[in-house]
Amino acid sequence: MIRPDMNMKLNQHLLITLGLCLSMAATLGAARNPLNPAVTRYAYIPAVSNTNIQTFGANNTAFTFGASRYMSTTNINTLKNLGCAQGKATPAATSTLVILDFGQPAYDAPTLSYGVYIFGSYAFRSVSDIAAASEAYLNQFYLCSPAGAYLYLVVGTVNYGSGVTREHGAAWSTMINNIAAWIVDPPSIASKVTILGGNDMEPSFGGRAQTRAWVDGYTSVFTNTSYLYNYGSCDGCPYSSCPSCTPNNYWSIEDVWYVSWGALPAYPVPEIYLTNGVHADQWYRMSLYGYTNHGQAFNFKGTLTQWQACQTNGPCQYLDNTPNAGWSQLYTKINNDLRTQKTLGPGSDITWSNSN
Amino acid sequence: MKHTPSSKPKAIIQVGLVVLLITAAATFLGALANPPVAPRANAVIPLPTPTVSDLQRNAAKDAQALLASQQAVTAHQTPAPALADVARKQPRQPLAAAAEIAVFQPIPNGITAGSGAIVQVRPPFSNNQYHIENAWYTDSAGASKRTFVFAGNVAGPGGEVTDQGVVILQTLQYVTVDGAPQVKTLETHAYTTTLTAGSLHITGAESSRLILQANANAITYFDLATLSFILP
Repeated sequence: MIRPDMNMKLNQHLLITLGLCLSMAATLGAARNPLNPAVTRYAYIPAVSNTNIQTFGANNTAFTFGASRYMSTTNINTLKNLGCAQGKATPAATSTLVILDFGQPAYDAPTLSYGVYIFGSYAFRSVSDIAAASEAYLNQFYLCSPAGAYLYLVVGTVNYGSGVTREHGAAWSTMINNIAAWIVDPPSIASKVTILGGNDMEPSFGGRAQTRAWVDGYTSVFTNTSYLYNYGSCDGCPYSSCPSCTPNNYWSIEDVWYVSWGALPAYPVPEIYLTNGVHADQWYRMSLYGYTNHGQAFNFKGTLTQWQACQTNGPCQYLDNTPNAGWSQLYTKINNDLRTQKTLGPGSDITWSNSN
Repeated sequence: MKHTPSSKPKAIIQVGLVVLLITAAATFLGALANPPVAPRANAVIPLPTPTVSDLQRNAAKDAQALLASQQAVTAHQTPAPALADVARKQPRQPLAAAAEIAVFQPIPNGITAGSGAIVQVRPPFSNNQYHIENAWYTDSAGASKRTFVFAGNVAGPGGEVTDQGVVILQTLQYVTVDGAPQVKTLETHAYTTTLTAGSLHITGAESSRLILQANANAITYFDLATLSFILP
């Protein structure tokens, strides 16, 4: 039997007990949320006014989105102008990631040289031409950029065509090593620039065996500095609405993992084009595959979007993520899971333009 | 203490409410003490035993990460040479400098078809957008202008191959920028088939019509004059 005043007191006690329980639960929940400390640690600054500066890495290094390019020329003066423009566009004390994609691998029998068929004209350019063009770009970036600006320049090709061979991979890696050596030759410009190899590896572009052979060739002359960035797609890979999907063209998930991470120099800079987040989801799942099957998630070295390319060469319905959106999608996806939680390198956006 | 007949049911209701609240509180506390066992997204799941090569590679990748962070620090500490010295630092000489001319050269290994040629070239699209099987091109305006037609299928939502056939018309032209010839894209336009009969492949050309074959062996034409598909 309960008196009305007792009843009221009991209700008060119950409310207090429930309140205490709720606050305890909140405290416990916060303490048990493994993401809390890291979210603070890796917090990035959203786009600041018009400067588009964000941060990456354990030291919260600031970066600005770089202008990557599909190259239809290796003209030295053009590359000098582009390098200078990127230098001027990179604020002091920030880093930027630029991919120069020179087209599909090729071998020129008359000159016995490896190289590419560049975009547009599909004319042959040797690795010497590409190295010279890249050095011109690097040199002018150094001269035109403010103090503390830093450039990650990725010189890339693709896994398309019959030129995708182990020998071509080795030739590409040698070219990157030569550019790296040129950078530190006195007067060294290493305080502002670094060089990396790249390949737009997409399952539908080429066979898995040829692509792995190219990567193995690259690895064979890898010097522990000339890393290989895969800035390709994971076309056909699993995502939330299709968890049992497999990569196109008879590739396995293991193949995508190998060319993006499994090979010693390989790191992913994935295409995050879709505005609905599917590409970020696919690459998060690839990283999770690495964690669960090989004991290590990916260190994504950046993201690639094609917003600029879509403005001139569209239409790109739903595939025109802004650089900020693409980067944020992948960052959020990998950092919502303790297993794949990592820093994320700078974002870059690609264009077809070869002029400023 | 006496109870009036009307106060008894009220007391029962009050007791019932208290029991309900206590039960609810107990359930809540129980749930806190024993959280659901269903897998959580952030749960750290046990790893399969890594292989020796996994362990070696993982250690090497960890070392690379350490090296990269050290390099990032030391790069900024590297003495910066004078700009005048860097301006004199010449890139190596390109082999193909003389080859930069403002006209399109024939694409190697092309198969003549109509007024152009069928080629296998790296398409200017990601497989996240289109899967291209092959292309046809023709040059005009003294070879300063090039028209490409790429054939294939529209990629699915995850980049999958689909049955939605597509041809993409792209027009390029050489222009001079800063005294150097450059290829500029004048136009890019995609045309999808009305029937989803599979990916398209260019097999030939007759006058201004391209002959296309779908995966399901269906033949169709794409007319370059009217920019439309024509059934045979």
